[in-house]
Amino acid sequence: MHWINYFNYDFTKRKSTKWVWLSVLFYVLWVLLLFYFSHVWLSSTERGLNRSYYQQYYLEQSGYLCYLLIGCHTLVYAIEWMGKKDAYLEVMFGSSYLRFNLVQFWLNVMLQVIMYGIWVPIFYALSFQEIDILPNFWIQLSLNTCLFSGFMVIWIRVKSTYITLFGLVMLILHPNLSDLLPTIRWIDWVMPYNQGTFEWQPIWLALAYYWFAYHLYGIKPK
Amino acid sequence: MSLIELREVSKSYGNKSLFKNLSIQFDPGTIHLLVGQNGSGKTTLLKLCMNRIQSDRGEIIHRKSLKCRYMPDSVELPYADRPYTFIAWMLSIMRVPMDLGFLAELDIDMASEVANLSKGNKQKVLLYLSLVGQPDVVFMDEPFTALDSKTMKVVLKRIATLQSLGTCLIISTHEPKLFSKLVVTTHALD
Repeated sequence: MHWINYFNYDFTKRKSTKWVWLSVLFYVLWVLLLFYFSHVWLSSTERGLNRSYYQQYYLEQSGYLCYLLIGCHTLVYAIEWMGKKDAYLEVMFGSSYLRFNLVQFWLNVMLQVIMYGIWVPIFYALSFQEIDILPNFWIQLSLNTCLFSGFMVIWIRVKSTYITLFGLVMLILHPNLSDLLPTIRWIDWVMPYNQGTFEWQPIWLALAYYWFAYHLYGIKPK
Repeated sequence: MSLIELREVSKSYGNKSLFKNLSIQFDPGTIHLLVGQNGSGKTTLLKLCMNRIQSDRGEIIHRKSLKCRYMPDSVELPYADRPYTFIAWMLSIMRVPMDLGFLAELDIDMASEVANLSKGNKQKVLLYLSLVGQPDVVFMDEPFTALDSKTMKVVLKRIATLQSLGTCLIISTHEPKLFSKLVVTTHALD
């Protein structure tokens, strides 16, 4: 019960005008882009002839853009977290504070998946006059964002702007990492990019990253 | 058994040695004042006791499942809420019942948002949260810098009550005279 109380209060009462405006900006940008895509396709006469091609193209492009925007949001959230002097709450709430923070971070990422992802099937229905919940799109988006957030949560401890830059590069390259580095096979084990089929590997990997981050936070600085 | 015990603890930053082979026992019902000039290591010693940083040498032993409280000299409270709701939220997470009598005595400005409170009122909120209930150990870093004399009396009375209930208070201060009516152990860090 007190967990719910913690999340509820921290979500609703924490002030950060900068963060709210950035989120709104990303969100508006996202909806406008999808609107543009659907508008372009609606006016295209080729759409009817190459329907399956455009459907696939729309899902791939919107899926990647959606992933990028959620990733940017995750990075912004991480920067916000980096700046926080949390010694006070950590002593007052004890060891559960770190667990609160990690779970809250993950919940926030999942909330963004729903908030951004929800528009993809809506514009899909508008664009192709076909209602589909697009399970593969949701699987791909959820697993990849989970994994990326797990990867970033480890790096939050290193409070440096270079880490933000590194996170941004990782975010952009993540879908093509195995193509860019074909000789380095372990990259598929460390940061695999899911293509829409359900797999346990990214889930276990994300859990392992979160677990590692939790223990990393327990290490005292000098 | 001591709540916290420092055994032969040494800590230095660069070439500056803050303390060497320091051994202190923090027992229930005791007040420890850490006094010394700026940079003498008072806050560092507090952080070591709070298990926030590593020592260079020595051992720091904490009794299991200690209920600790911390009153920092300054902290950001970025919450868009009134102090009463903020305090109620903090206490619900800490699982400590509200003490309305003590809260009324502190006379906190309840009309402003926590984030916009004056320094003195923010300090009162932090003092309330660190001294309410019956914690095992309370760490306080310069607790009286922005307080009026009336609030100081309330706080000192509360500290005396907690001491009698078995709480150990570790206080970093520049004003040890304020505690002249209490039984304290002073650690000079110069």
